[in-house]
Amino acid sequence: MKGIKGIFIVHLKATYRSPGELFWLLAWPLLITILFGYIFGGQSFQFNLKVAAINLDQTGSSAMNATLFIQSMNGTDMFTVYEYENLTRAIQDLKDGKVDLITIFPEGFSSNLTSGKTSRIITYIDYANPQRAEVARATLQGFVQAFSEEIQRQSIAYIMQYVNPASFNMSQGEFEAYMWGFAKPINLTESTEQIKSREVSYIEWMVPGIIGMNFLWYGLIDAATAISSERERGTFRRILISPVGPWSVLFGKALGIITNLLVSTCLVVAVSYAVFSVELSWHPIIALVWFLAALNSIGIGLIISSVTKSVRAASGIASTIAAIFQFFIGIYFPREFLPTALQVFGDIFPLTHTTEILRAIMIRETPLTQIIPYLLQTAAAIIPIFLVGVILYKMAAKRP
Amino acid sequence: MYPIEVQNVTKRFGEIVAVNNVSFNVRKGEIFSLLGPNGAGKTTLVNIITCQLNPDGGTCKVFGMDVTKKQKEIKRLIGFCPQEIVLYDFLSARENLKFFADLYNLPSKEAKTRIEEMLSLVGLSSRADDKIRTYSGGMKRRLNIAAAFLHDPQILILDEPTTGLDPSSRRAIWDLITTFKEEGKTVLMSTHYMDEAESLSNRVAIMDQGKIIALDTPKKLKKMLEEKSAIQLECRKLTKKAVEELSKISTTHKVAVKENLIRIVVKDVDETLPKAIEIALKNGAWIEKAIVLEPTLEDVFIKLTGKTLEGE
Repeated sequence: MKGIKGIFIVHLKATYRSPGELFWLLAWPLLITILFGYIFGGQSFQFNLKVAAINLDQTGSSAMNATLFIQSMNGTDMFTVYEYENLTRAIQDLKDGKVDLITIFPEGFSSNLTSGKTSRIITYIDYANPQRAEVARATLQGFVQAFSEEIQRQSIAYIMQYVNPASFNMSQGEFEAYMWGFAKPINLTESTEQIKSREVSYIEWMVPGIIGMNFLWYGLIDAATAISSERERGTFRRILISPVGPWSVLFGKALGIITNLLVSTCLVVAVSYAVFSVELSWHPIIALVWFLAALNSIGIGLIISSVTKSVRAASGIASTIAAIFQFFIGIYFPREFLPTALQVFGDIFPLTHTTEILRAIMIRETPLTQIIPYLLQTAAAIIPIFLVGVILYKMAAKRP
Repeated sequence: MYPIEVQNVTKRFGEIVAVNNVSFNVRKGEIFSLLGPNGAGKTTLVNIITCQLNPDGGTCKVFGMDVTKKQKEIKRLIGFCPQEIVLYDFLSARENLKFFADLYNLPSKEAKTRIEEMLSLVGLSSRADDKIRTYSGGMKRRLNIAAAFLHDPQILILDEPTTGLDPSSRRAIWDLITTFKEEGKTVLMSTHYMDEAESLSNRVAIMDQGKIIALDTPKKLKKMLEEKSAIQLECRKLTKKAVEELSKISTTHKVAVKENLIRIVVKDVDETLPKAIEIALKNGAWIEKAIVLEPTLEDVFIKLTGKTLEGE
């Protein structure tokens, strides 16, 4: 027992006295948490779009005109409107990135509005920056829709002043509803009944992924190099000359790796809570999922260390696996974003499934009845990997 | 019952026979050396005795226990010091020794006492809390031995304990080995330094190509030589031609050459010394010093194998 304790303590000291190890264990997940938290935010995105407005409309005698539209845009936090005289300069500024979109209010814009006809706004968007262009388009569409609804509301109120609903055998309310049906045949209404327990921000969605990332990066590298480094240093042989056997070495090392991963996980959860107020749902079964993920890392690490002859080689293979699979296991974005062919990479890697189970419990609060079959399948994949790792380790331990 | 009994032990690695039908016993309280060039089979033999390798043939017993069967019990009785420095350089000397105390399951109180004793014995008490990456090679080697000695084993097995050390560090290690012997413990040491084997050992087994070719006390081994003296010429310049001509002086032996130093074992020193100097000078050698010495174990090895311990 003391032998296991000795190996465990030395493993921890090796980690906490090495700046390189500390970076991967603590600084890297911390950096990812903070960067992703700040970049993608605990809050929603706050864009301010620069709009070049060209007002060609000279028909605006009523209050409802292009100038009002422009003023309304300027009145929100979403737009800063600059009035332009001609299109050529506006297009040049759009190309130069000085404005995000151009809106042209053609001749007749206001008169169409007041005479019950459809008014047009012509817009130019530069798709050189697709994300920003998409945001600009959606934001403008949303604003136009809201503005249109206000016009509909005013138009219906205006009509209601001059029409007698009784002549249509309708009440006032029925007639107004009828008019709204004309103006807006379909109304998309989001239900207030929530399908998830609460609103989830991107960083909340990310935290289980970052925990998964720890298993992938740190867990795999630590496990792959734990035995290789002892072998390279010669300490593995010397330990085995003592009464401590290879199982004790494995147990002490595994305990060290698990402790390190636990520290890293706690740090990510604590920082995401302290900095971004991330609140996750907890259930005791998380410990089991977490342990399975650790076993997976240790198993793969043991396989790597058994087939490599140096720490450098073991670390290289582990890093390569981590660098490739980080994009397929749903750490940074949902796996559904990937082409179907690439999703297969994630499917075959058990860490994908432990990460998804963590997310299901921590975010979606999926009932255990749904979790347990998935968890059993995942365990059925991880346990053979771990056993293969252990068998290869035992064989490698016998090598002179 | 001997602390170590090796009977007809053979170990093969594929086609290579690393240890070939070797037998010997190590007596209690003696320093027993395995002397031979690299590749003689010393380390393989040590690996068998320390339960790292199973022999392909024969038996090896430690205090009557078979190394293939009672490994855990044997490992408790053995303190092994490998040729390489096998310590954690990110730990201090004290922390390294604490780790070894844990491996041997020493109770905390006893471990503490033994660690302090060992640190004092190897002269590292004042640097005990410094990371060993700041130590010199000699200091690390001393600590390496202290780690093997820590759990108070009955047998200390040292694999090339002084390889690569400067003379004063070697002397310090020799003192440690002697201290261990004085405590009544048994020492098995593999070395390719004949002076080390000669100075420290009660008995020496000379190994070559997996076999023990001679086994006795250093004195008796040297008595095997008919020649009673060795002429050693230290030259500023030693030519190939000089070596060739000097080799003809000894009809029974090959001469030993190390850099600018040539050694010839002779029967009649009075007659041979002037002749050797004359031959050396005639053939372009510049002699700085000519010394007459007693033959060494290396001379015995040369007589038995026709090779030097360096494998020339």
